[in-house]
Amino acid sequence: MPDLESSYSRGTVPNIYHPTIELNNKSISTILTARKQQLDVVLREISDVESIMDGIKNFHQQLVEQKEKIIQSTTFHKGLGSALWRLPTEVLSHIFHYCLPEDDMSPTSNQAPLLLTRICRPWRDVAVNTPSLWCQLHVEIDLNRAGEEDVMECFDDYWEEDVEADDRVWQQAAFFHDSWLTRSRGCPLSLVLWRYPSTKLLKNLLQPYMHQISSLSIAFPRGAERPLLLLEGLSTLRELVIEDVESSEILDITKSISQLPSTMRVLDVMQITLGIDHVSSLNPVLAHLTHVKITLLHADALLQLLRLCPNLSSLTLQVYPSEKTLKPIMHANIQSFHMGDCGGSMMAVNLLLANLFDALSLPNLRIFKGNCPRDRPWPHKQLKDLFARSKCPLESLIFTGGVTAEAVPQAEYLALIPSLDIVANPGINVFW
Amino acid sequence: MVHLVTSDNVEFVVEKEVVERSVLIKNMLEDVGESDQSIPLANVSSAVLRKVIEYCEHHRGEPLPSGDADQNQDETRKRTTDISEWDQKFITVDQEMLFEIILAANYLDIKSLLDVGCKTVANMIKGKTPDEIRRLFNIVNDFTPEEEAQIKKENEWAEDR
Repeated sequence: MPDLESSYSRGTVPNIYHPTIELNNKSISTILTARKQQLDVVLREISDVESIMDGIKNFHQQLVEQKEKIIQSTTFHKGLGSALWRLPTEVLSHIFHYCLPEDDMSPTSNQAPLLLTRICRPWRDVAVNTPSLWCQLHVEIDLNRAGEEDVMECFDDYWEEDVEADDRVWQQAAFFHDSWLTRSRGCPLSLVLWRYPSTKLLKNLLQPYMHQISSLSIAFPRGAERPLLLLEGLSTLRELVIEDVESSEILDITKSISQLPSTMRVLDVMQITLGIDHVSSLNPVLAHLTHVKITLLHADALLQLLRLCPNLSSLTLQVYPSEKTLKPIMHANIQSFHMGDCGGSMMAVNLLLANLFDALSLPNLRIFKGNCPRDRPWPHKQLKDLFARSKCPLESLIFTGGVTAEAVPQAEYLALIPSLDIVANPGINVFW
Repeated sequence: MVHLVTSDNVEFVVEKEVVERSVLIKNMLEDVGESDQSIPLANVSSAVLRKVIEYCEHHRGEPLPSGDADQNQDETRKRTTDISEWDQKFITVDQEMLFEIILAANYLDIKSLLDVGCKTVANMIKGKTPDEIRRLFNIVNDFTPEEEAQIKKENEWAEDR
């Protein structure tokens, strides 16, 4: 440390109110020169020390990086020894199948199968090359606009920026869905099309995969142009669920359904109400169906349905009451019959069900499920007569909707079929 | 009784009804008929075979799953990862043993045990982030920056949905 004392050191800053210190310009200049030299020396030393410190910091950083690499390599080699890497591809595929969400089909990057493509190369290879992981897809693309240009003309507040943003989102969505579906490599597809901006755009996107779609759940958005395009070219469709449709389009939809291929087995149109004309317009596809869920305007539409569906084995039905007496009809193949909730007054529903049960003969019936709300009359006599008349191998009789076990004349049913399993579930009404 | 010899040369004597839960061994026994000769299991160690036999003994007499049932399950794809209480307790082992049991079940063709193992691993994966999964299984992220970018692009639309 240099000596920084001077003849002025004892005084304070030169000040006209301290006349006791006599200032000498020459000696101050000498002191300043000395200080500058001293400062230069110290600055050089600081710089030297900083260089050394930088070197140490760099070295420390290198050591930290080396440590990370060694740990990574250790983990890698430890991992290589694990039996995980000896699992054959088909076993890893099997595990990946169990990773798929059980119900939710909406694709998210934090769930299988996408999640499995983000872990490491070997897992990504297995996931991407397992087509069955990519066979289900829930398409829900929400854009600002309704989708069709002619519809958008009606909206004044639809800006150019919205169009650009929508186009960007659509491009991204289209890329995503196409990448997903490509990985299905010809396997049967199960698609849910609930919200999409444009029938035409979606049809273009799905076109290469239409022949693969075996199950389709679809809602027809209000205002969508030519929604029926999506029911064309489904050459291997097995199952169709219609979620939503405008009432003015029901007949067009039923006509389109009628043209579906002979591979069709399951039709769920529970969400729309069909009259006898609609049922008739569903032909010829009805001949191939084995499972139907349907809501009918009148019970006579049911008779038409049963006539046109000779292969039906499972029927879930809602029907609105009417006062018509039904002609007797037998259906030889129905094994499972679920009578859902019927609209109308308590007495009207009771009369409808009584009429229906009186008209039906179901010689192959094994499971009957009825929605029987608490405190509502239920035509047990007619139902028993139906079972007796049908001489059916009934195994299971289930009442849902709130009826208590005491309200069901179980002994009378058991007298008819001693081995019958009777369940009165006071819970909520659940279909199937 | 059937004699089984493991990779570490330990002999197990197991009831036929128990060991026949393995389709591989069942077919072997059907092919060669009754014999006192030991069946060598070169891919299974004694520690793992002990666990496998414990599983087969517990599930003896239960119907073997048919190929058709499995195919139907594939079609509907609504696969549940529920595991029965006993199986869950049985499969609560360290990770290495878990994978060894899966390998043995696959080799010996014991479908129900393979399912229990695969479901267990799937349940370990579900609900975790990629980093958590890597840490859990000692997996190194070996993607190049270019591959990372490609994966990010692929998933962009489905992120945070």
